[in-house]
Amino acid sequence: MSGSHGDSVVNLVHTENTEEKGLSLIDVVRSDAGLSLFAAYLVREYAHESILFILEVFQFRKQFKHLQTVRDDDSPEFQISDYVPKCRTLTENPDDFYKQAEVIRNRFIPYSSNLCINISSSMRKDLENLNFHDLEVEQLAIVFDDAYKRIFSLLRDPFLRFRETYEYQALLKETKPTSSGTHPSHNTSLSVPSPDSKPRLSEDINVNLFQFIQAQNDDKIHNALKSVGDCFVNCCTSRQQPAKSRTSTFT
Amino acid sequence: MGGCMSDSQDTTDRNVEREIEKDKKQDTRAHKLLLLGAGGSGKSTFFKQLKAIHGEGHNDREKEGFKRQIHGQVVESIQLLIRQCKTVTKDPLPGIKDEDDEPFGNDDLDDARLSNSLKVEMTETEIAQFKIAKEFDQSCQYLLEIHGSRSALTEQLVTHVKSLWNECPAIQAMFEHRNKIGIPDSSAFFFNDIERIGRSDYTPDHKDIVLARYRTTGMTEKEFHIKDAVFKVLDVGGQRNERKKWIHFFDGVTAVLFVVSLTCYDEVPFEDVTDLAADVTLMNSMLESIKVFEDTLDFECFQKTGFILFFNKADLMQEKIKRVPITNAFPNYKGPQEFKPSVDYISKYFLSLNRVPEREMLLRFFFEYVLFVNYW
Repeated sequence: MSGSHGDSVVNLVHTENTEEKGLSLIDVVRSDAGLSLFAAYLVREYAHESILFILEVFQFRKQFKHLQTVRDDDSPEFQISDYVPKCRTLTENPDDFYKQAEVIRNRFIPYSSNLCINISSSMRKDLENLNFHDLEVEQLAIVFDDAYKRIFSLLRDPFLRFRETYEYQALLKETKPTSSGTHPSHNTSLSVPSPDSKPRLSEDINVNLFQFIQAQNDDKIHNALKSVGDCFVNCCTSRQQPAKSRTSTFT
Repeated sequence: MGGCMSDSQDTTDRNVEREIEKDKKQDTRAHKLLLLGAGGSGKSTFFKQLKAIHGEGHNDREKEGFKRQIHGQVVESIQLLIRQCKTVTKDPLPGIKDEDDEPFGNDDLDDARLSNSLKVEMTETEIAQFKIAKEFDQSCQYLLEIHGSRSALTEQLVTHVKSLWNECPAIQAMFEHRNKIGIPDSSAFFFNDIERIGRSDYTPDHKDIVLARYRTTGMTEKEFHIKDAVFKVLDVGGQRNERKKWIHFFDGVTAVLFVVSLTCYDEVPFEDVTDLAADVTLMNSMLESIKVFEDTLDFECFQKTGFILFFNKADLMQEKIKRVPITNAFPNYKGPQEFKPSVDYISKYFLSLNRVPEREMLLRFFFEYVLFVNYW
């Protein structure tokens, strides 16, 4: 069975409400549930390296909040959910910022890496040739900013399709409509439209997200994230479908 | 999965079973078509066209998404044009503080490298044409401060883009070099229509959607029913990191639709092609396309798979050939600098790369914006 098979379950037949403009990519990644669901969706589309890179750079960068160079650029894409547990890159190298940057680079920049991100060859080369130890901390803090922005805007493409999923609809329902300008706080919770159990999905998902960030092996990441997605599909479809039906991919 | 049906199951259960059975049948009947090709060749454009013509079209939510992509493309393109003009002419960006220690991050790495490739063949007077006049400072500053990710087109933004695009010769001059700085051709269309696109009640029409250019990442699939046949078409990203993922989708492929952009022979590649460009003075994306095609043909699992070669952007090629000969990418080409013989040469070149004679190879040409239904 192909890994993408589960997609057909969550693709919605659209129920149109022409009034609603829906959530933007920025809205979604600001909430922890949104970020988790979107990350899980990206795995099904084979695009999870992008969100992993975003998460790691975001957490890396956050350590330098006090620095002017970081404060100078507080554009919306740098304001994503803060409730994701710290990635291993950071926890394993506490306070050694140069080592952290090195780990991030090795994970996402070389073509040989399985998590190689979609940036131009010139940007890749420049990052590869850079000797981080030549940089002041002020510069190191923002060394991945350009790549981060490119990848963030790249995510608009899969986000188009994410908006067609059940997960997105659930998110939309759970997110209180906000007047333009203000945004839902970080802890937007997402409850599953299942009347019986009402599990707090965002918590479950974060546990899974936590695991996948901890896992260094790429296959494990893929599996962990996929199970997050399947778990959600399972919850959302459990009412309409008997448990034994299409959720067999759940591991 | 195929459990037998018993009477004890309730209706919902049976319906589900039936649906699964139906899915399974369709799966075996469906022809799996893989859209492959280098980055920017037009795979997703083709996919969008398919969806508009043979699918259910694009719903309002998707249109809203495309609107954001188009707005993003407009903002990113104009920003890149401004930054390139400023970098090439060494004109300090407006609004940047007068601090001596130039922060590393403000210097866009890509921009610097690209403008270097642009500058190589230029004289001082040629460079001077990219100088943006002082009167546009305010517009430049306003536009550069916009964050691409929050790119709703406000009235003010529209005014600034319009004035730069219509009245600033430097921006126009830079746009002429879009092939070297990675600005999509279709940005001109959106700039020209900026007022319509910037209206608050704007909804992209079919043409807007097809022309919207953005990078694809990962994989999407969609089923199309054309007459009695079912096609499952897979669209993928084409950049080098994306190509690593292709192997996941190679199972049971009926045919590969390989897309080649005819105009990419003078475009600066997104990927590094220095190792391929042995006898070519200028780097260009055609080399990349050829390389990807060769690699795809070589896959063990495709030895018996039919290939359909799509040569895309024929309309743009007709214009480009007047200015740039294909010898850029095909130094051995001796024919006239005309559309027909050039395209013939390119298509023969691609066909000659196939070393499996019994493999079926079809050629198709299409245009960036055309209802290609007639070409099938």
